[in-house]
Amino acid sequence: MAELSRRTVLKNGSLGLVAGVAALSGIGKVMSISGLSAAEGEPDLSAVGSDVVAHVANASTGDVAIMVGTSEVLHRDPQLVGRLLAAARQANREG
Amino acid sequence: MSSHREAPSISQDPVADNTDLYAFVSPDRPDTVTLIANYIPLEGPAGGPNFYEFGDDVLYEIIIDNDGDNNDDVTYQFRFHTTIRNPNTFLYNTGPISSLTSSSWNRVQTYSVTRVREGHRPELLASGLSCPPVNIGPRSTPNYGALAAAAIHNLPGGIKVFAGQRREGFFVDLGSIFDLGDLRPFQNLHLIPTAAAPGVDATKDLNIHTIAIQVPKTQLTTDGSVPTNQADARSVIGVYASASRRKSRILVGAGEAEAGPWIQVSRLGNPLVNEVIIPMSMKDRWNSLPPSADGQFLGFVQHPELAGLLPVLYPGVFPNLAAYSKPRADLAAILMTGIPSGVVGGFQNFTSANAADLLRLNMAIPPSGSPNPLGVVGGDLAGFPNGRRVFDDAVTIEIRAVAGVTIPLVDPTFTPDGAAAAVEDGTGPGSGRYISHFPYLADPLGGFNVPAI
Repeated sequence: MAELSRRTVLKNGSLGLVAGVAALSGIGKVMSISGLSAAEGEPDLSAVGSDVVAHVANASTGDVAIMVGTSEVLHRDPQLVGRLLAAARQANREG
Repeated sequence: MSSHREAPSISQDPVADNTDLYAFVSPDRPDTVTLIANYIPLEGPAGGPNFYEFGDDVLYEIIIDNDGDNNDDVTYQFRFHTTIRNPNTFLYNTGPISSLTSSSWNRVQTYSVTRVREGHRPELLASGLSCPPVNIGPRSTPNYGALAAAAIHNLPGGIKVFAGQRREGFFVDLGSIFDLGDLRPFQNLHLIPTAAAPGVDATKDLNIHTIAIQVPKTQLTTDGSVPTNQADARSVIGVYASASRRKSRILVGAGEAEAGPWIQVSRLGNPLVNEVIIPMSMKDRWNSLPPSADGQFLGFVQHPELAGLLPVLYPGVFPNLAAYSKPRADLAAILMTGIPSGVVGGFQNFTSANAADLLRLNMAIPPSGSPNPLGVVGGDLAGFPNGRRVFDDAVTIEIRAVAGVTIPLVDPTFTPDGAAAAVEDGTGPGSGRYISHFPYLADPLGGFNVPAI
């Protein structure tokens, strides 16, 4: 996990993680969506056809910006962000 | 320079660096307008073995506002794709490149052109269009003119496009200007004086990468009309060019992953605005914004730092300029709003009272039969700041304007200093840089004959 914060990309439609806090001004097509983490059952891990990058845009609110293709959506999911930050803290410790 | 390496961030990203923008009524096809956006500054002709090329990961755009709201109405987008024909050689070419389909040419670029009109779906105008190779030398590119000519493409609707290396058209004495504002012909008057000397053209042996598109005027006006009346607001368009990169880029081994919306990293309307007017701390931000956001920078145009420096750097030469404290309405009109009717006889290119750095072209002004590189300041209404032709002397025009020569247009009480109409960097268009037809910039210099600087 040492490189998690810099270069980890799980290819073919998986999630690249960039932890941090950034202002959201200037984002073009931002939609606030919620409830994705409430999806039930087994997660769908099939590829979406292009690279996916998630950026923890605001840790304090649990906002993660998900970029795929030329789109970007803002997803508010404190549980997900919490898990990402926990992984990031672990990476920092191990790095 | 005009906009070469003008901001800290983009100076580290030359592939996406807008260097010059031109917009003019085509002298040989006056029913059309030619728009030229140059990128990649200071190309040494011999700059191999990985020669200069457009970025496959960059979105290049030429954008037109045709209704005076400072927003995008017609956008031409250019995307590039690089192919390696022979993966087993390190060479750019393995023999003479005799045609655009030559198997000896190993690294080729093609591109697509998409038009985006406000309120319409994007239209793919063409794809798979060939760029020419760079000009290497007599063994590799023995008939470069033919290669370049073959890379001029005619698209439906009377549009012509070209994308590839050309000779740098912008001329300027970089070495002197960046040395505390020295102008060699007047350096005997500088605060740190040396003997006056002719200007040195620092860009005459350099190339550039050009995206040129020639479009019927009727495809640029807001209502499809033919602009014939210079006083009609519909005759004026505002133009800027930009480069954008995807918001996210992650290095993955030898490759990269990209995702997210396009983020503008460079833009250019009028020459030298970001370079010499916007403070360094704001230049990167300026590059990220659309022209419609330029109101926040208007104060730097109205009170340009350079106007304050000239009287200091040239003591006693600009006393009237030194004493002038009013906001520079002349510069605001030239660069940010367009020149309203009644300021220059028989001419206007006003688009909006709201500030925006747009290169404004009154398409109803016909091409000049005897062009003057000093443009409107030189009595030639077909030249800068009515659009900009490839040979227009943007440096001299803007230095003289900043020095006060254009203040009387808006403030008759002001008398320019005698030097204001004479000051220059001592360079000129020279010979060999331009051609009389599309794409108007000459073939690039070959690396064999002009070694890299």
